[in-house]
Amino acid sequence: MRRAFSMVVARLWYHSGRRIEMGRRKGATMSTRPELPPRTGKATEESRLSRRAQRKIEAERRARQRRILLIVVPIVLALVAVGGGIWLSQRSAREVAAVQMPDVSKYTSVPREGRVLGDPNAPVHVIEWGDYQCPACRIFEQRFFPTILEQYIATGKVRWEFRDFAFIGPESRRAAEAAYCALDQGKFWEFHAALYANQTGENVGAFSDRRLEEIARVVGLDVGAFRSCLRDGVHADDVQQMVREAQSLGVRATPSFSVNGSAPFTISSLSDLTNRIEEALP
Amino acid sequence: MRRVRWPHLSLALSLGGIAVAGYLTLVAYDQSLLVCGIGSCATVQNSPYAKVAGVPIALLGLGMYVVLFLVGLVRWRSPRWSEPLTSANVSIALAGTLYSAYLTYLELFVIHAICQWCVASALLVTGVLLTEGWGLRTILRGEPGETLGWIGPERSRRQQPAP
Repeated sequence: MRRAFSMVVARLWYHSGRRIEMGRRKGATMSTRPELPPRTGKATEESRLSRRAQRKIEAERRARQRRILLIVVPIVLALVAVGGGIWLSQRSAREVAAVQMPDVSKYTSVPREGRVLGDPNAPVHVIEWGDYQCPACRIFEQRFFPTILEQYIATGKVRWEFRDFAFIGPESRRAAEAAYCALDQGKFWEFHAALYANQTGENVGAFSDRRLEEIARVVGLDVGAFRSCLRDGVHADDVQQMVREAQSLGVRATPSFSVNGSAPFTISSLSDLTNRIEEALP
Repeated sequence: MRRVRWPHLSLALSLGGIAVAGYLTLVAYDQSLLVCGIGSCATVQNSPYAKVAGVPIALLGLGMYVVLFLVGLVRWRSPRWSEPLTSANVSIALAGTLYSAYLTYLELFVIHAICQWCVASALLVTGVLLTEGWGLRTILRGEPGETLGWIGPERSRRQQPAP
């Protein structure tokens, strides 16, 4: 191993002292300075040699150009590509910041009271604990919840309640408080869906106060009332209280569910939840 | 120590890159994530920088590694194209390395989260760049019989019996 290493070092040392041109001509018997051919005394011989020398110089020049082409062109192309990529990346990162309004028609067809959705006399009561910054909660909301809504809530079998387990960071808590402010104006579920639709990342300004106001605007809230509700932290204690309560019940991750007062559980597929609901149905 | 030809090293590194970027692409398109635990949320993959013009960067990275690998394969089969192909791979790997540096900067100073698979990919593409850069240097020196040269001591010296 030591011998191999010393040989590598020796080889690098050997090459480092040589110019690239010299390396290319390894084994060649020609003089390394073709521009100074040895004099022979005969004019024809001399001109023949100098023509050969000319060709040699020309060949070397072409080789140098080729080397430049093979080294400089890829570097320039790479720099242009990276510059373009960074520009696109910065632009699309800003584009995400534009607030979108999701389709909330699915919520308007069912009875609701605050953060509870569905018939108040439904036999099964399901609680979902979520965090507005959690991608799994967004996926549940957008991909699986419509099925639950259609099959169990709209049919009067399930009463669905959403509670906050805001644990990912300061923007999770602010988003939860903002949803509470929307609840005051009777638009909890619209705002809830809009928060998930405008999730862009964790604590990166997706739910900054300015953006929350923007979301309130597209949801159609009274923005003045919403702003003062959020600014004064009217529901900060309510959210903290709800998170503490969830913690004491054993919630550790989101989304977590409880069916008719069961211990909180997480799911790895929709059927994990629908099976529990089916079992609880009379 | 076994001798490794640099084109093979480059192929192996691109293959590793395909595996890592492939995994990250699967995660990027995975819509079955159903639990967020403490510290387990895909912060980096969920950030606004994880997509360029709607395309996950993991997919772009996968494309880059596939191209690096295919170019390497073609060069292996037809060595007379090795000059322009190596030059092309240097260009692609250089772009990949610089872009990875930009992404690592974002992870450290903007998103404030590090994704270990993204770091693995950055290291792999840097490895490809170094290997291809070495290869281009070897080719341009035109060492006899070393169009697809060796990394390590020359064969003749290795074959000498140890004193």
